[in-house]
Amino acid sequence: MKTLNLIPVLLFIFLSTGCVTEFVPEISESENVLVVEGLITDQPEANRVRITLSLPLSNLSDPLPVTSAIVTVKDDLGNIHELREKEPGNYYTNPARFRGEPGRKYFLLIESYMGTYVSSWMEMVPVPPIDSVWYEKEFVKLNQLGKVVEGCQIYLDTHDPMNYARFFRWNYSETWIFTLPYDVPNRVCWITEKSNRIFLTNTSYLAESAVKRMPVRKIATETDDRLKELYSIQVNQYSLNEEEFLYWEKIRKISDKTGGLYDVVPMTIQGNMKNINDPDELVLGFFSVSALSSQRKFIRDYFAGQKDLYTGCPFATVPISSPIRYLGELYWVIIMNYDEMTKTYTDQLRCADCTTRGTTVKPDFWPED
Amino acid sequence: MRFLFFAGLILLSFSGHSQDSVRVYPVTWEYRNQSFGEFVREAEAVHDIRFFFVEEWFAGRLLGNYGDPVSVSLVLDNYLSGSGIYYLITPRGDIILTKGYMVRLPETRDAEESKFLPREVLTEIKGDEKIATSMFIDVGNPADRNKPGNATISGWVRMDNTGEPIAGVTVFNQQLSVGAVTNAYGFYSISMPRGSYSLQYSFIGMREKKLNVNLYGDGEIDMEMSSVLIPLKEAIISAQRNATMQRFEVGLEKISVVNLKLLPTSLGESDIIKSVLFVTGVKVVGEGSAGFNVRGGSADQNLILLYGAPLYNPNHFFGFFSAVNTDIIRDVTLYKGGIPARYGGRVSSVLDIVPKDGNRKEFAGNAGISPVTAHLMIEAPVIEDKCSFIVTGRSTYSNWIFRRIDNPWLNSSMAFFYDIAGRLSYDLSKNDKLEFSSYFSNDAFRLNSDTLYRYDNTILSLRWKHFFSNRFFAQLAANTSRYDYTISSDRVLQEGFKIAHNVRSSGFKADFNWYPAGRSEMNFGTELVYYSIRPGDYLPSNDSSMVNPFLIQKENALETALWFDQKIQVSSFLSVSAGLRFSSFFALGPADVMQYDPSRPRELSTITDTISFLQNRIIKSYAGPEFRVSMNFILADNSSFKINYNRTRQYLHLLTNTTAVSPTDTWKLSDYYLKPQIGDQIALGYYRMLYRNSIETSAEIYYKRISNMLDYKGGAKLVLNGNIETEIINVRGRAYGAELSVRSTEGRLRWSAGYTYSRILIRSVTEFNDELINSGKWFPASFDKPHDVSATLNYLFSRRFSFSASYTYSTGRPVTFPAGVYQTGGITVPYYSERNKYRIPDYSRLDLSMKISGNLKTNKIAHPHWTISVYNILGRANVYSVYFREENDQIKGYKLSIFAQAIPSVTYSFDF
Repeated sequence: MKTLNLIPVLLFIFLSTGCVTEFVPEISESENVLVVEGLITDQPEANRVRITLSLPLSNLSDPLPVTSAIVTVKDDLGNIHELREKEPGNYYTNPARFRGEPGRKYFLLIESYMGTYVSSWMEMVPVPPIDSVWYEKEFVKLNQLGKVVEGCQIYLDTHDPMNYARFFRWNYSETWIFTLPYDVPNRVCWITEKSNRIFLTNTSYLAESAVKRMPVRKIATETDDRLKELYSIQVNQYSLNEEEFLYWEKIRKISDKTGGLYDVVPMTIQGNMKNINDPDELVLGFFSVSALSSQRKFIRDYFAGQKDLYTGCPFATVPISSPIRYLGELYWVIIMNYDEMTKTYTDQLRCADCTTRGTTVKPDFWPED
Repeated sequence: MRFLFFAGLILLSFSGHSQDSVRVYPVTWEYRNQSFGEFVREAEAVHDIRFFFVEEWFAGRLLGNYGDPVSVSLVLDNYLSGSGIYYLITPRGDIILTKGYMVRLPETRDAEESKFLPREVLTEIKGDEKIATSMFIDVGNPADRNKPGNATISGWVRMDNTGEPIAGVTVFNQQLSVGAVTNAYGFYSISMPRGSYSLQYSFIGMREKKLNVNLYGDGEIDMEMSSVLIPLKEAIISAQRNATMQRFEVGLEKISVVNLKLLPTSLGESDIIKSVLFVTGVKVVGEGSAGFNVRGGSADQNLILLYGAPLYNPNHFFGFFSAVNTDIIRDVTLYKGGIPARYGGRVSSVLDIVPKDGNRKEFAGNAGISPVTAHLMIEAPVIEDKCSFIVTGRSTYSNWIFRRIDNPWLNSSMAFFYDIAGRLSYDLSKNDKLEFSSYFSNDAFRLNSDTLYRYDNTILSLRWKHFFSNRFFAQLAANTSRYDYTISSDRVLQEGFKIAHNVRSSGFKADFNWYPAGRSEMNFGTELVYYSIRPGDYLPSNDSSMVNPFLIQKENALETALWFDQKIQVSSFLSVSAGLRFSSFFALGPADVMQYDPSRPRELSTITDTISFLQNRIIKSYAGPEFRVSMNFILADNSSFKINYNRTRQYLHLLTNTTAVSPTDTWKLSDYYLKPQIGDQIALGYYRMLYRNSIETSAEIYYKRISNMLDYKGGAKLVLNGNIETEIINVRGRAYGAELSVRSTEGRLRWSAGYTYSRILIRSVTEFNDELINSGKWFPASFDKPHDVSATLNYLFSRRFSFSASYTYSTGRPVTFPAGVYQTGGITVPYYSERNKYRIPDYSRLDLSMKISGNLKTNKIAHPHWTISVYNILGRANVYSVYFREENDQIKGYKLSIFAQAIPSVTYSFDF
């Protein structure tokens, strides 16, 4: 569904007389708001808590890390585990000594130069496995030539027979392989992308905690080549307690930017961290405690209307002996035809080197052909 | 009907005949069994005399035998005896018959000129008080002079040139300091002990009239008044001084169209809503934004009445122009407080637009062209003095221009609006008046051939006024009003969609006015309104669209009200008006109502159940009394003090999360969850006339409390939301302020200046901490603009040339700024300052205009006028809004100025 913006309308009407200029608000608010991004899972891996400062508007730089803090996780049995700062602002658990346990409650304590911050008690709710990740071909439209264009809709099913898990969050990581049509050194690459949307469900008002046909990802093959060869999606399923569910629900609301920021009533989302000495201080981010289950799905299928991103590579063919100026800077050879003693070159690096988009390092989960 | 006497035609000149006595006219013919008409013809043939009377008075009755010899006066004495008709024979031989009152010649003959009019058009005296005091009119039968108790004078006040009734005219008895004000139909009724008094008729922009009466019994005096702006010959008037003193209401503001047309215009259109903004206590969120805020009320808390029906979207072009063409407006009354009991349904104000009835005397009209629109108005009698019509139309021609501009973006765009309004009024008899009115408006925009916005208003209204007696009359009115908007896009045919919203209301109102003996006035009545709202439909816009229709269930409701209001003159210095309105509201099925877990905030995720209501079953009802009380203390001849309290209830709300009202905002009825908004206001006012009543000053303060106002949760989405209760937070409002104004409305130089201090603070009320806005503290609403200064100035250089200027300044409105961004869950999220913590820059604007009228020769067919105006002559780039959007993971702020430079315009129009 479309959301409508009034701003262009107003712009239009007063095109001739009005004016729009950039505006940088003068904000008296402290710019150093603490941001905590932490996740403790039940997996045998190092869990990270990242502590940074928020960024002012229109600043693309990396956020300033809060270093040298003492970060500890405590559970309801009195166990204490201190995290270690491996990179500035990034504090990790030691998987050998700490692993989250469903049913336990945890809280996070941060002692830093900014102050002492503590999270509320977070219960780790057990999570059921994902029943299946599956897909359907979808008719999208007829293209200009009257040919069918198909898309791919990926769904997820899950259920908790114990009805413990009532609040779910998912994210995913997609990986796909692509091959350049030319015999160049960096020809086969993999791309991995993480989801940038929030997927949530609440089953607490259902008799049974079951999720069916949860749409996870929709791929438009007309503009996208990720389904051309082999595609893989790993879906992570997190169980949430209610407090965390409500937090992500709000984040989802303001990040579903179908319109623009000005369409939404402004909201600052307070997480579960507080300054011990100043409970009114704004602390952003969330300390998540979730059990995790994952499933990976591979898709190798033909979708009508699949786009080939490399049909449009511009090129020129010259005798094999002719020198090419700026070779390796502006031009790259993509075909060496020794039968006809010609070579073909292009002025687009993406057609000559797949590492412009991905990496030649094959992921370890990737099947051997 | 035979009118022999016309204003201005016959001027009785006494100067040359001051010592003449009335002659005796003998009756020398056989008068017995003549009809009165035959008698008059015979008498006029024999003697040099003329009779002035209304033939209907004498239909059928023949003259009797009054003996022999007789004179004309003897015949009249006998014939008229007991009929309530009086006669006067002037020295010049004019015999004037009057019904219900007696005209007596002045004892002192220092009058230069004067005119008498029969009952329909009573005495007009040229504005000179000396002449006026020399005239006495007898009302009632002199034989009743010693009867006990009060007698009542009632009647109509109209414009002399068009016959239009004038509302708000003060009729004031100087000896007793009692007064009455004509109602919306120009009718007044005043009761006084029998005696001799001087009555004064005054109204802003009109020449004041004075009249001496000998009050013997009940009678009628109709008065014609003339606008001072039409002759422009002399500017010695003292209008309205008692108007402000006499009215009960604090915060009543009357805007005459004549004054409105003198204000500078924006883009050449004189504008009713824009002129309301010069009233102290009235603010607008931003330049050219729809809606206005009265004393801290939100924009949906204003009841805008046109033809007695609510006008749901009073704007064209997203608020840059009012949807009502000023050509059709007779006057406008804004109630900021002291809202009479007959009005209800909105918390903050009532803006009653009273349209013209049409010229009852002659064909007239007006046409013109401005940079934006062309307009035409025609008014004419159908049956002279009985039935007339008026039709106005206005339309843009910007489409025509767009197609001629060499800009592909503009070529494929369109912007268009029109409005048409008309009224037919017909006096079925002296006691029955019927009016039929209709109004249509339409707006359409398409931006670069993408999205088409359309919206329409439709109003139909029928009203019947019936006079049971001169002290009791009723009006029955039925009306229907409808507002529709659609937004559609066919950019991608398969994705073509249409969003439609509409609100309809049909109302019936019975309103009774009774002026019992004594100094009181009573108003009572009942009103029924049926509402039907389509909150939002999302539909495919064409056959090949694959959009799935999505419809939000309709809302239906019935609102009813009963009211009673009484005004009592307690003593010569105190009058009291006390009223009660009892309103009730029934939300009606069919509807499915979601039930939410009461221990949690209402969210889609906390729905526990659904209750279905069948057609016309009551889903929820609300009812409550609304008290309206005013007191007026007259402190001295030139000052008064008023106090009032009123409560108002509102069952219809506008859902908007943009700061300014936009046409895509949707109306919402109170329902299972949404409670009515209730406002309580107490206001005090002090009024004083200075410099021989030429300068009017006022100071008012008020305090207002509003419960169940609407605000929205962070991240709320209001368009096409079927569970709007999950997004709404109840807020409580607290508004207070002071309004000071000074104005001079007389003479060549007219000016006004006003300062308003007003605050509106709101506080969220919810049991869930999570939903609190700004931690449940009081914070300014988005239309809180504490300081506001406005000034207007108008100078009439000559009858053909006038100059005017207006200035406004106001504090910038509050906004919420994103304070920064952070990452969570892989998403960049902004965080904000406290809601409405910051303000956009202050607003200031100066406009100038000049009006030049062509030759004013009366025999010319058309009278042309040129209006040259410059909007925002200082070229100040006032900030209209500040907004933020995400661009490449960055959040950028922009400020938008709508009129960043001076905008000149020229309007040409002519009257015919």
